Order: sequence, then structure tokens, then C-alpha cells
Amino acid sequence: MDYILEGFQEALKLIIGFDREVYRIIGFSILISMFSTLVSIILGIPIGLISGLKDFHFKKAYSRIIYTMMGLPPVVVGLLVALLLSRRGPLGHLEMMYTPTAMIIAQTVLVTPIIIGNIFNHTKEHGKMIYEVSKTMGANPWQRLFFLINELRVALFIAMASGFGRAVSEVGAIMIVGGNIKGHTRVMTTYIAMNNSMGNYGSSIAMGIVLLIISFVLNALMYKYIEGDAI
Amino acid sequence: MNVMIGQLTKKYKDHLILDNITIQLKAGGFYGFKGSNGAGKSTLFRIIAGLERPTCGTVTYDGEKLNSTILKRITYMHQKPYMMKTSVEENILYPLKIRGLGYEIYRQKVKDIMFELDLYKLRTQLATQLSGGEMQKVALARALIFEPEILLMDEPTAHVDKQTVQAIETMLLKRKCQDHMMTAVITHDEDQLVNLFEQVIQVENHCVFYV
Repeated sequence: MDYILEGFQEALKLIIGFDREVYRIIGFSILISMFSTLVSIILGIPIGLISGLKDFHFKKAYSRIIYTMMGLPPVVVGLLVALLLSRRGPLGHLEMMYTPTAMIIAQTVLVTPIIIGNIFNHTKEHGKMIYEVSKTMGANPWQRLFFLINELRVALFIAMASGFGRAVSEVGAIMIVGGNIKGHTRVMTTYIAMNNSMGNYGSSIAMGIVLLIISFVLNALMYKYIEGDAI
Repeated sequence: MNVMIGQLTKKYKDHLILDNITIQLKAGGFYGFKGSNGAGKSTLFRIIAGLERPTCGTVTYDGEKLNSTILKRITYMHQKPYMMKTSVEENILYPLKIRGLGYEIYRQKVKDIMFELDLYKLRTQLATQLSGGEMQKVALARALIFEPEILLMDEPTAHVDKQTVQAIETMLLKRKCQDHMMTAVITHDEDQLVNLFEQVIQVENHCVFYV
């Protein structure tokens, strides 16, 4: 138990003392995750909305694929992206392996189905009615789209927050494609994994506390938004 | 606006809903539609409102096909109306906003309609938290605020109290006299069908009959 207590003490010192490496890693993690979430939002929201609204052949199969992809094993995603980006891979000439770009790609592959799936689900349940109501009130196509997005704003926010939460807590895929290189591709989760294996519990716990705080803040924001904007 | 429905057929995959129906709904008319569940009444209304397309046949509005201008002159009330996640007043204002019509110009009109339907005291309340009857009244106010030429209502008085039924009927009759709005209402209420409407149309076995 002593080593755990010592670990917590060291963690507090690193956090309160604004340890440069720790905070650089925190900032880099959040930046990478925000970027990949943004790309996922740009891809996921239109796909989620359109596929939720429209009736098309194989919609059932499509929904099963999306729901399956929401639970993609991260290391498998990491492996697939690494196979594509490695020197011998089809995109090896781009030299993206072990770069932040590769990490963003891997995170985007993981997060996009989560955003699509959440939005698809909500749009399937409520979207058609919302779209029709705006049409019957005389809205043009752009106005209907804005109306739909506005009415589904809580669902969209939850999807985006879930996506970001997934991205920032990801370790498997980004360890493979990023390599956890100090000062270059090291993020909070890979830092925790590395320091834990080295027995540096103080550093791991410090980063773990920060990750928990981020999760807590995210959930608190989501709850406040949902509460003030009843579904 | 006169609505002419010519040889209209509607199928969902292989399931026949409406079979080669032809009817005319005149401007200013007051029509009650009845029929058993699943007869195709709602589908017919949805086609007139531009929410669905017929499998074949035509629907014309004063001789023209449906376009964005005509669409702005029609309104359709769902059986269970959707309330925007905002106040009652904002719900009623929405059709005016999307037409670029200023609240200041229509302030009195919005106020009048809220008083008529006993909604004024609820104007700042979140519309999603209203009772079923109150939601129906908000939906009606929202449908009427921009003075449509065609009003289609799908069972507006089902599942609401007598007071709300009376309020809705009074409002509709008043608008009929004042605005010459063509109104078509789906209802199972035999009293309404007998006492309220100029013409009752029955939808049965995929066809329509004037009663």
C-alpha cells in the first residue's frame, strides 16, 4: 500500500508543481483528440443524419455494421492503420508512421463510427418527424436542416462528447501507430502505460488523475446541457 | 386554393393503400374524413401535404403541381404533434420566423391566438412539458399563425378533454368564416362528422366515398 500512497504524493507534486513534461503531454493529448474528434464530427454528422432520415435498401445491415464498428477493438484499428502507413504498406511513401497524423487517423477511425452510430440512432427515432414538422411549417431545405440539427442538438452534443471521451482515453491504436515517442507522439494514455510498466507509479497516477478530471468535467458538462435542455 | 386529386394510387412496396382515387377539395371547404384504421386517410393527407409522393396519379393545387411556393401555403398537423424544444411562444412564432416575418408586426396576432386558445399563461413554458391537449392547441396555433390556405389535421381531438375539443372546433369554425381556409380533418367523432363539416368523405377499402 505504501507505494500507492507514495505514488499519490508524487502525483500531486507533479500536478501542483506544473511539471513541464506532464503538462506538455496533457496539452498534446487534448489537441490530438480534439483534432480527431473534429474530423469525425465533419464526417459523422452528415452521414448519421442522412442515413437516419432516409429509407434505403440494406438499412438494417448498415445499422448492424455501424453498431459493430462502434465497438472496434482499438489494437485491431491500430494494426490496420499501421499496415497501411508502414514503409512496406500502400501509403508508406507518405512517411506518416509514428507521427501525430497517424495517431489522428487511428483515432478518427475509432471515433467516427461512434458519432455516426449515436446520431443515426437518434435521427432514426425522431428525425423524420422533426424534418416533416419543419416542412409542414413552410421551411425550405436549408431551414429544415438547421431545424433538425437544432432539435437534435442534445443528441449531437452527446455524440460529440462520447467521441472525444473515446479519443482521449485511447491507448492501443495510438501506441501502435504513434510509438509513444518522447516529445513527439507521447500522450496521456501511452505515458500511463509506459510508466506503469517501469514502476513509476507517481507519474502514472498523476496522469490518471488528470484523465479522470477530464472525464468528470466532460460528463458534468453533458449532464448540465441535458438538464437545461430536456430531451 | 382548390386541390384536385386525380387517379391517385399509393403503394408501400406491394401493399396497396389507395387505389385510383379522384376527389376535389374546394377552396374554403370544410371536410371531415372518416374510415377504419389503416384505410389510408393519413396517407392521403400526407400526400396532399407533400410529405409523401403518390405511386401514380396527380395532385394539383389550382391546376399547378406542388412547388415550394404552394408548400408554404399548406400546413399539416400530425396526430401527435411535435413540440420544438423551446417555449410555447417560440413554437408559435417559428412559422413566422422562417418566412422572415417580424415578431413586432405579428406580436398582436400571436397574442390574440394565444388568448383564443387559452395559451397566453403558458407562453414562457417549455412546450415539451405540456399536456397532450395543450400541445394540440399549440400545434393548432402554430399551424394557423401564418394563415395557410389549406389546413390538414390528423385526429386533432383524439385523446384530449372536452374543453380542448370545443376550443379547437370553435377556432376552426371561426377561421372557416373569416379566412376561407380549406380545412380537412380526420376524425372518428361521429358528432363532429355530423355537426361540424360541410362534406364528409369516407376512406375505405383503398377508395373514397362522399357521404
